[in-house]
Amino acid sequence: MGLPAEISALPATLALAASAVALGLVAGWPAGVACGVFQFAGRRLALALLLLPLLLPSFLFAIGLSMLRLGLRLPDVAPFSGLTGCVWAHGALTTSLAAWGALLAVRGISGSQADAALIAGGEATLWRAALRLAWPSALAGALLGGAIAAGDSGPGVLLGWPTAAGEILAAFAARYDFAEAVRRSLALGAVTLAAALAVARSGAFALETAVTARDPSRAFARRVSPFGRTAGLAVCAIALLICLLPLAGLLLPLLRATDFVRAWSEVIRTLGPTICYSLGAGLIACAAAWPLAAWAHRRYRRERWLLVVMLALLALPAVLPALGWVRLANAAPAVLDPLVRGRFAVALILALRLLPVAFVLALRRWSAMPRSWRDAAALHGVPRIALLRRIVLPHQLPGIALALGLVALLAAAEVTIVLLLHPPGAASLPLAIFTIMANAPEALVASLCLCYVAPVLLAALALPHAFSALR
Amino acid sequence: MSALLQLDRVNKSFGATPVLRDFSLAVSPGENVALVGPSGCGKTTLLRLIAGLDAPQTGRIIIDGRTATDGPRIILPPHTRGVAMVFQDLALWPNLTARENVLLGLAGQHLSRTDAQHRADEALARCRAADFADRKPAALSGGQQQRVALARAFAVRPRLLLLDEPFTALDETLAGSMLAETAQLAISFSATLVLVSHRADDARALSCRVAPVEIPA
Repeated sequence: MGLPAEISALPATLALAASAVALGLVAGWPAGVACGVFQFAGRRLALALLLLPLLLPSFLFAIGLSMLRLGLRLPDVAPFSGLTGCVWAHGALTTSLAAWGALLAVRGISGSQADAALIAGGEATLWRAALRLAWPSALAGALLGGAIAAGDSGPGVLLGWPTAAGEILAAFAARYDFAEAVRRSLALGAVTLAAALAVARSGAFALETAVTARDPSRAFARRVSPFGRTAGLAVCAIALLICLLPLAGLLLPLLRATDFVRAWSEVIRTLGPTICYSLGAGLIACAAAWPLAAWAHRRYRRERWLLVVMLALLALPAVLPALGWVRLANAAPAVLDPLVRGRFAVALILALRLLPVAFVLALRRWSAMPRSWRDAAALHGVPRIALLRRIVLPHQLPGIALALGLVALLAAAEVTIVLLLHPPGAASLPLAIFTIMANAPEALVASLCLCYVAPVLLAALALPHAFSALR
Repeated sequence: MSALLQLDRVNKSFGATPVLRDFSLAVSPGENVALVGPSGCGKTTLLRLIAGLDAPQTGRIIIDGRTATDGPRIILPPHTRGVAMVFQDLALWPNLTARENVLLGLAGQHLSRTDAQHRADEALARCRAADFADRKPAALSGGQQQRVALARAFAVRPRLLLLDEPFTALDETLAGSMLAETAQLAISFSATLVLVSHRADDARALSCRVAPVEIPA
């Protein structure tokens, strides 16, 4: 008797995850450092493009690569399919996470630290120092992306590379054996969790430093120089090649034909559930993350361990909490059906999945609030309610708004959880794209993708600005 | 004359690191005191203990004849001790104007709205901060922020004003003149000053008694 398919697919899964991590590090690490150190033309667009893989489901990158290959009339070989295709699709996410991890770390450099590096050896020294400083964050980001890739079934199924998550989903779809799917997911979850915990433990320390840095000195001004311009060109090339090219493939069929009428009706049909799931997830995640971060911040041991747990939670396969909830819902009495089988349940599990994102932002915001504000309030007898209403909330609100928006965008991109939990007739827009892409005409799929990608790109352009305002 | 502030064999440590060991001090009303010592010797911790923002492991703190802290027990909450403090980072609430900062600082005084506004305006005027009372801290210079922080502290009519190196960002001449001005304000508000500093010049500018604080061996 042979091994179960998902076990025999483990080496392929690990090869995919390792390659995606390598690509993420090679491309994302220097790109993030360059965006942090230099000011160059196209920086904002490059940052927005590097944000897209976080905000869009991975299957869109896989379909984009497929459509690009078809549009360019290329054979079904590397680099558009198989392992290289999957690495490209998942590499967008690892590159994005590594780049943003590096950028976050580099933005912690103070003006005087940058000046010291420049005096010591000019721009080359500053560049090398920034690279060394950003290494742990970039590595943690890339490894986290790799763990997510290992638990993601989409690109593997679409581009013909057998991954463990893909095999589990295929077996579940064929036999609908729920208990077996849970067992297999747990087995895969245990593998990714072991890897994720190892990553998370070291990553959390780097992340904690980046997130809770309380450097009151003047911020480091990005440099404008010929080397910076060259680095900027490289960053733009990386962002275009890794993040935009697969998405361009999605839109290629629009050159031949469009079907915006049907696409628009599909958007209208799915708009309500999409907003409900995404905003609901954002609200629940923020409602949980802010008190949790308030409880943990400045208690360093607690802070670090919570970050470890959060990073591990993010790295677990999305299918796991969804299947767990389905099992819980099956065991719950019928009277609870509206709660455990409705839209709220989808929002709740999405919120649980994305809680780490809200938690990190909450921790950063709490850390930016000096302890002396509360001390002064205590000394002057300011009532707790007045302190909360007049000092704490106004300070926290921009962070809450950013976390809500970011979690909502990420939740809107999540397909697996919505696929398993959504009530009948209440699919989200990405799920609608995922469901119809195999049978619908290319023009409709491309039109739908444009309806989805365009607003996300606009949001991605605004997010880095909103994030830097919180520094 | 009985002491306004008395610290009796106060011990404080963070984990295994002792910060204050058997520290005792008595301050009479109107007698300004400068706690001078190197960085990391526990000066700020001492002020936090006096203010009731933190508690020692052992020892007693008596303010105005009342036991405020007895060992790890905080008996009098911070806002009932008749103590105000100007923090090292000034701790101005950034989303409120200077006047609102002073007004919110009066929340624990249970004054009517009119009385509170009168008290805030008077404190701002006496600290020469009235001209920029409607501006938020970010729109003020460092010196102006310090005046607002002083106004917030004096507005509560404290018997004891704790100054946690609030003027270290200024050059020595300017810091000296700010300290001298603060000492004059303290006389006019009938407050006693306890200043924390690592600069002996600050104590001279304040013409006050110097109490050394040392790092425990």
